[in-house]
Amino acid sequence: MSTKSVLIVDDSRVSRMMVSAIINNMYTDWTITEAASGDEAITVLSELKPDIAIIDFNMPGIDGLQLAEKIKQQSPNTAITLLTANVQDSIQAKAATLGVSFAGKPITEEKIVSIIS
Amino acid sequence: MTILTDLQHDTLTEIINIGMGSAAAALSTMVKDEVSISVPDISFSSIDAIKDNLNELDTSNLASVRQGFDGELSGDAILLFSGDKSLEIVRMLLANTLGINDNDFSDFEQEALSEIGNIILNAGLSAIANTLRFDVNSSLPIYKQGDIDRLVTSDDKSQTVLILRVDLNLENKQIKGYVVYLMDILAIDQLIEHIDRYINSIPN
Repeated sequence: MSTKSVLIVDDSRVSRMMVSAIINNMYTDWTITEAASGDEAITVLSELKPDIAIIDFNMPGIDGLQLAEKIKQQSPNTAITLLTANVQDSIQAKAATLGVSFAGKPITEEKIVSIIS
Repeated sequence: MTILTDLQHDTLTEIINIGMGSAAAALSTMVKDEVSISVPDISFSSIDAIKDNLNELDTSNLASVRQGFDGELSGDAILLFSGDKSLEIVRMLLANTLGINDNDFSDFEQEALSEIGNIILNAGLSAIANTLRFDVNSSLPIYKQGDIDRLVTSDDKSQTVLILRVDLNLENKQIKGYVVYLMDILAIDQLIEHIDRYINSIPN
């Protein structure tokens, strides 16, 4: 698989570390950028158009779906997955409407493999 | 004092069971240990009565994650563990995935437990919301450590609250935890409305 860039957006440092560690273990040459909020991610997007964005839903500031909309505007080719503990049907339905994939926490290697493949 | 009919009580117990089943499954995945849950205990009482219900934990030293929720149902969800077991839970979560050694765990204690609480409490809330078909917004998790009076609080101590308590047991580590939902009288009415709607939607 060719080198890819991944943006991980989650206010939980532990979650970012877990996702990052799983990807790093599989693809040492991939570029991983982390952001702790939607606003921080938007700043990153001005310089980076990631191939993959893995974003939490409940975060300080804008939520993950609002961020997904902005990513779609600024970087339409980015494949976006909402990775969240909030597994309500309504959130999953909104993600589907936006064309955003959905994965429920807890984070497992299997889920991350599925997201990035 | 609010009293549920037998059918409402039975329905609420089953819905909490579904929610806590999801929560236990999430916790089990994270810590790679078998997690058992108790039958939910449902009571209406003052908030002070919670202390009497947590008799298997040292209520002077607890680790807690609290998450408020609002929308079509409002209240607070609280996860409680023994304070002296919290690092063990963090170790179980982080050891396999990140390869962090024992000396580093305390650096991650607060963040790791916040995320564990976030996942468990949201799993429970989402299952309840999905079953009763309503939307709730959950706030960000807040981690605190201390005694029960500091962690389980309400604006009005004399007010009747709905206390939903579930025991979580990590079998191989003998770690006990509780999930407690607190709802005031207005929220109780909201919840009963949702339960009645759910019961009425069941085909005869």
